[in-house]
Amino acid sequence: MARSKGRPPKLGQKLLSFLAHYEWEYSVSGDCSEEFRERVMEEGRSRALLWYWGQVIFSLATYSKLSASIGVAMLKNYLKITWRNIRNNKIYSFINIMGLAVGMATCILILLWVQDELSYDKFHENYSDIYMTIPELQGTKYYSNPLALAAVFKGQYPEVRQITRFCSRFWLMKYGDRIYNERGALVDDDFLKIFTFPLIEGTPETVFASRESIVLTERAAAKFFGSQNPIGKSLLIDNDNELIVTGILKDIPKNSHLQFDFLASMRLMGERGDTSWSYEARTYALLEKNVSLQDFADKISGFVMEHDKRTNQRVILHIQPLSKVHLYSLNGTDPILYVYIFLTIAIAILIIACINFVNLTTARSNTRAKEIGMRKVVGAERADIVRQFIGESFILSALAFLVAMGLVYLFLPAFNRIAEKQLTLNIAGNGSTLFFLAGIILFTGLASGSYPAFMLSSFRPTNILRRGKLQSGSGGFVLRKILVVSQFTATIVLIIGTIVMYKQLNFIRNKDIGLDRDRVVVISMNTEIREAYKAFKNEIKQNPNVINVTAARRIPTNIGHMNPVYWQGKGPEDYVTMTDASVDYDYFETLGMQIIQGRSFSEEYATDVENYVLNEEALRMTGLESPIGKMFSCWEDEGKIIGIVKNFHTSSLHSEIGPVIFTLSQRHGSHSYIFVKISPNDISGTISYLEKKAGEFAPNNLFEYTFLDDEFNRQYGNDQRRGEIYKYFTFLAIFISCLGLFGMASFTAEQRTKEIGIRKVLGASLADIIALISKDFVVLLFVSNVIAWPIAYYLMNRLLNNYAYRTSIAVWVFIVAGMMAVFIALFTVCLKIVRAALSNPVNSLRYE
Amino acid sequence: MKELTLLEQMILAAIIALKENAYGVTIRKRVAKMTGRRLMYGTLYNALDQLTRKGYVTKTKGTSSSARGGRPRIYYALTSEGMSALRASYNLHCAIWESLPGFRGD
Repeated sequence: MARSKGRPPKLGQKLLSFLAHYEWEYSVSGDCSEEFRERVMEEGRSRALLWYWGQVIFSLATYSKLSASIGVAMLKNYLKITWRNIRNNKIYSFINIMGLAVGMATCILILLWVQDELSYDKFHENYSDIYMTIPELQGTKYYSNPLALAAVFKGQYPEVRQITRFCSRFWLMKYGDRIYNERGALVDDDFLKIFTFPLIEGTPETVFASRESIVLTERAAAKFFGSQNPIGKSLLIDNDNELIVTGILKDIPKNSHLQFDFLASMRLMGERGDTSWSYEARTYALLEKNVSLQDFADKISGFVMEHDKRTNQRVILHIQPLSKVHLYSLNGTDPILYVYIFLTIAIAILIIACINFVNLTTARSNTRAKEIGMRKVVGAERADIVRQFIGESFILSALAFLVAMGLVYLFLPAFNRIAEKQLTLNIAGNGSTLFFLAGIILFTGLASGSYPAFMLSSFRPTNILRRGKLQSGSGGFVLRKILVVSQFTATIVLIIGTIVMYKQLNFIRNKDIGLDRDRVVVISMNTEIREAYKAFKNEIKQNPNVINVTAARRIPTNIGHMNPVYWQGKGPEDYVTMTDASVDYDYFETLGMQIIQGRSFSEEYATDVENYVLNEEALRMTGLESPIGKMFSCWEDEGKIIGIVKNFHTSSLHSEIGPVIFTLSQRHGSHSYIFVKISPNDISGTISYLEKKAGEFAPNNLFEYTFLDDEFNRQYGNDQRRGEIYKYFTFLAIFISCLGLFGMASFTAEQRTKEIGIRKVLGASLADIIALISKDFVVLLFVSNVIAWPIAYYLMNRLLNNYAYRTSIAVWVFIVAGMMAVFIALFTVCLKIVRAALSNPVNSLRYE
Repeated sequence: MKELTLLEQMILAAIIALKENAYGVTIRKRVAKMTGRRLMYGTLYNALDQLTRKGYVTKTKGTSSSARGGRPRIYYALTSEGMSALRASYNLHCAIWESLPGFRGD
């Protein structure tokens, strides 16, 4: 140990021997090592290290051969000049550094977000070998698999090492007087061997030894038991099962697609769990390492059809790797699209910031012309000048980076709130973070420094020194115009994008979806209320603020399962499935759905228990001319069609309306939710009334409710979050662009001080002068608009195509976005010019 | 002959004082003890290189040891030119200060 303690850092030794020629290497490195050893003994390793690195850096810097070749003296001069330039031109330096810093900060935030999105589920040790089985019915894929699939599956295919099901829902959990609704999952015994969710208490082999086991997360355990030891305690689940805590899990990481508060054994489901072919369980298989996926996929594709003998339904079984769960969707648009969109925005914003730098530096090249001329006269090569200016831009980008890091620390909490993430900027512990941060500095330094460097270094010293300044209209002029145009093109595209996304979100929220989701309270039923439902319904209907009451198995956003159906006149070999929704009387009335043919369910007809109501889409699929009274069945349950309900949206507007059939839930099982339509008077009073009544009917349970419109809006949570993030990025892009414009305007005003003065003397008004200078900018902005519109139109069209129901891209959007850009830009320009134009011409003519 | 700089004088004096044992670490320590100045190794070796080039000191390679990371020590010794250059500096100093006895303060 003592030996390694006394050894100086390897990197330091390497540096010394790498850069110095051999004698130096021997002596300096040897001497430093020797003295380092002594110092470790005397003053401890950390101070010795400090000393050692000081020696290394200084020795390298003063080493005469090396120092001559990189020109330490010259570097000092460059640094000094850079510093003077920053100090003497505070506005430009501020604009440059601020612009770059904001650009970098945005970029870092977006990259952190992307990194988090890409990190999902990667913490599982078996990450690359875990696959999900995915059944496909009628062209639609589902995560839910038949319950009985897993057991048969494992026995049949040797490629499967382990398999587990995962059935998750909310359960009512009770310990003493503590009652909570928690999200829990029934899983097979191998679950914790397949997935890496570390246990604090218990082992993956034993936690599910008995049927009555439950494994809690740390968070859930603390909620129920506080500081007591939870192991061996018993919890009452759904007022039904008494389960013993056998293990404690570390809290589930945010970047896991599986989220739950507890796990219990699949055996709780009883025999049904192993024999039912009902689609209720996600199924995860751990495959052997060297399985040919293609062969395996071919082998299993007919598995369900082979084993599920009930129908001749066409089910194709697929496998999907765990890596695709988060960023790819089964049907429709893959969320990874948004990762790409955001990455593009990040780069665009950084480029906009770099453009500011290029513009300002080239525009102000006049002021540096003499310096460059002098340097060339005294012998600077072109390469030296290039190096100087690239170095300068690196220094500025490093400064900007420091500011950017400050901004990121400042705004990370706010960003986390908007994006609903828990991102941290963990630089030290994360190699890839370090890598991309360094990449950002490098990119910014090079992108913003190279053009000015090459342009400035091309000046001819004789021209510069004879005239004292550069000819106006030199090469950078056209380029600056192009850059301003591209900058504003990007900004306008972003503005149009923001408006369109907002328009789409509003469209979704306000679209007539065929049912009235306002003021509908959704109460989750528990066993007690379920038993007393009829009485409860009659009781609360007494309240004048309760307009109507109904119940259903599911919430309309997830209205039912797909099931095979038959109808009078259907060909026997066609296999058709429709979504089967079981509801109570008054369902259509309470939810404001319109019956367009026939009638809705009624208690006056006892046979309605067997009858069906179809939606328009279902009717279209049957092709029946006069449907009322026709025979219809789902599975083997025969009945008659009694009514047709107008089409309504169930799932999000990303997808089309599907065929839905309604039956009364009395036929099979029971309801899970009560829907109460309430009047707009005294909403909170009505809710507490409902809570009081529910408490009377179900004293042992929790009263939990949501509003139906919230349930619908929740489907657009992701869209909303993305829209929100996108909006802020657009603001930033506008800000950075305007910063650059402000700089350009200041520069123009400064350049034309004399001209403005003379014009004023000759009688020009303030408006004339503003018009004169802003004219150039306005032309550029119009050009930007013309370029931006078709690009934005194309991109937005592609984006909106992800929604089955989309808003139009109206012309006004483009006009508004264009005008906005022009006004903001003009305002920025005027801010500067007005001052120049108002100043006394005497002063401006005396200027210089 | 160009006059020696102060730094060179310090280093040469240290080498003489150290006799056979003059190499980087000891020279640096000796200079620090004599004058209170802590040289960086970079500074020290730049000066030593300069003195070698002028022919005032010679180098001999010693044995390497693990304490030095396998690098041999390099011992320095004065040549006769070095000796006379240092002596010239000494004489110059004496000539300057002889006329002001008791100038030394604390």
